[in-house]
Amino acid sequence: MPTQLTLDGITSEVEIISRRPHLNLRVDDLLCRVEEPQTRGEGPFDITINQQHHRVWRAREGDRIHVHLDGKTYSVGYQEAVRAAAQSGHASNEIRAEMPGMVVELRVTMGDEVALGDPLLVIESMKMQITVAAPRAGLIETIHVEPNTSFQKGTLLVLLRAVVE
Amino acid sequence: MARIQSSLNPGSAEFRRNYLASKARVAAFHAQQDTARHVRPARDVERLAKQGKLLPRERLERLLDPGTPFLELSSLAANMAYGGESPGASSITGIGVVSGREVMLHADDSSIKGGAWYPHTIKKIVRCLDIALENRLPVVHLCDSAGGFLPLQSALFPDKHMAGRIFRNQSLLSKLGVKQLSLVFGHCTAGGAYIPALSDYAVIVRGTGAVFLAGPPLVKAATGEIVSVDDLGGCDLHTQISGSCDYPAASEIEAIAIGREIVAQWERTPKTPFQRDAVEAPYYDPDELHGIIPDDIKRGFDMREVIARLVDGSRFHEYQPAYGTTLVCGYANLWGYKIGILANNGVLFNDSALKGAHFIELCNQNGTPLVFLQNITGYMVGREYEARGITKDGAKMIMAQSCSRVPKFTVMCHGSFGAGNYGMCGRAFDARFLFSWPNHQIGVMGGEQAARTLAEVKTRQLEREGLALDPSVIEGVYQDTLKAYQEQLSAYYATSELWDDGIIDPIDTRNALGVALSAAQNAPLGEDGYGVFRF
Repeated sequence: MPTQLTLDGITSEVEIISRRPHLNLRVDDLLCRVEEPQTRGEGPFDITINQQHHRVWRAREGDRIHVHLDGKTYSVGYQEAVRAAAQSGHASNEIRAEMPGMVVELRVTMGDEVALGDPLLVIESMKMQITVAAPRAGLIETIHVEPNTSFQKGTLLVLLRAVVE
Repeated sequence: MARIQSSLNPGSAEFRRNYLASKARVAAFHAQQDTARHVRPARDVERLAKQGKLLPRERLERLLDPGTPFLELSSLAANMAYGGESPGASSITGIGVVSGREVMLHADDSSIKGGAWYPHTIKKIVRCLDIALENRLPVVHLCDSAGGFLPLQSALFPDKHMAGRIFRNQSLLSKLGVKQLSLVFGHCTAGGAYIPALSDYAVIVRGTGAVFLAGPPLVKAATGEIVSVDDLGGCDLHTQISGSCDYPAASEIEAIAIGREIVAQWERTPKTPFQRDAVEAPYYDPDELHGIIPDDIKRGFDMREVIARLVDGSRFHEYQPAYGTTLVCGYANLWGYKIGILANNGVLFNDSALKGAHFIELCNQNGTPLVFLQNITGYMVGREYEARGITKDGAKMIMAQSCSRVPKFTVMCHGSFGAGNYGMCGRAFDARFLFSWPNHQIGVMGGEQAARTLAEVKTRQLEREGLALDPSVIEGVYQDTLKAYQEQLSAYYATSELWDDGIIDPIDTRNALGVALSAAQNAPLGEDGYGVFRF
């Protein structure tokens, strides 16, 4: 299964093709043959990638690994596959009620620009108040409910519009 | 395992508001706990000093291994009973380490009315011995009690879970091979006399310790015999003549030293091997829990933010992350122990209930202990959900949860209302331990709902009788109900009545669960299997 690594903030897909006799990797569209005697730990070590020899230093900081190679330091992060998959669902522009309830408070007005996770409105259902957050970044196109009014399941609450750069 | 990506913003106004409110709430809790633990009338403290007795907490401190954790349970039991006359329900219970063994401790608090047992004291001791039974924990009793509080005898003596249950539990513990030691510092009168008698080992202090079915005044009334405390049931009588106690001690300190040596002889029974990895501190600061907990019982919050501040490395393997999203389920490690977490992120729908039931089965299959984090207003109501079988789906969750063979632990993180309490392993479902946060509220429904319902009933009643609607009467019903409910819904009332094993500071949750998981390992897993699931 391919794994996602971030290198200085840019995501690459890495797949292990074979482990023996050498580690063969696919990094995006690039194939690499890696010979590395020391696979764990920190500090300096030698590595051969596609028959080119490198001296590399490696340091761990929490979940990130800093790699020093040919005079430059790279910060490498590992993106968990489970999380990435859970977040990959397509976020709709239509924010609909997941259950019947009542509007307590609107946190946005028409034309507002919102980022992912920004609160849009507070609803109350089953004695609990829930903040409905923006499923994606965008502009508030229209608001279809008012405070202190009730709505049915599936009612369109807010419509977003993509921001055109 | 993936680290939870927190989206909490500690700079936000909401975070700061929550943080300050929670800190104030926790400070009030600690202040009340300190008072319940330490503030006693000077008269009682002087009397104990004159008798050469240590305070109960001084005894515990000398008995426990220095530098080891002691998890005190139900420190605010009875805080809303008897006008506050019985702080901590006149007893101290908890899990601690004595001579390297994990043990349950039960100490009578003789600094309150001679350690007399109130009805809540009995409830607390019975619960302590239930915990010992469920977790196979050896028990050390520190005895010093005047006996049952006689004016309230009908509330502490006759029923199934009252005083007799202490001795029933002691007998069953012994049958299971779980050891008990009694250190008799003061009087063990009437029923209390059976505590050392039913212990496998008993030490008694010369001069102050005494064990008898009836004290001198009662003996005189019953038979006319005039006898001193020491002659009737003192140290030498029981260790030289009757054999009711085993070891004489010249002082309390000596009794504690002998007790520690006795525990040091006990075999170390093998623990149930839960899956365990290297311990890692949470990545996110547990202090931020205060900024998550809303200052309003109706406000929801993302329980993943709580999980991120409880578990090792804030790592969480979420099960079915895109299905039944109002119940967050998944694996994590806590103090290295593999656990399965079920946490409420809203009302339980059909899919969330099914997901919960399935995840509980997975944990039973895998031998993984279950941790329930409650913030629940119930299962979804309405025709659509009934038609889809919300009742039978909730029943599946209750069935899977009730019949679990793995140990269960529950933390009341916020609201616990209605049937959601059942599915999420409320008190009735034998969680090995159940802790509450100070902001917790519990009831069949919230205060506002109850007040609105009863005000509505009153309005209809007046209409039926053709009487004029006086808004002030209706408002009165509403306010009275709200006030009564709010008092009884609070965590303080719940812990007063021992509906939990104690209120804890949210940031202590990780440690409390760690001690609880370690204690739970002393018992084998329960029997495998379930009843009939309604499909």
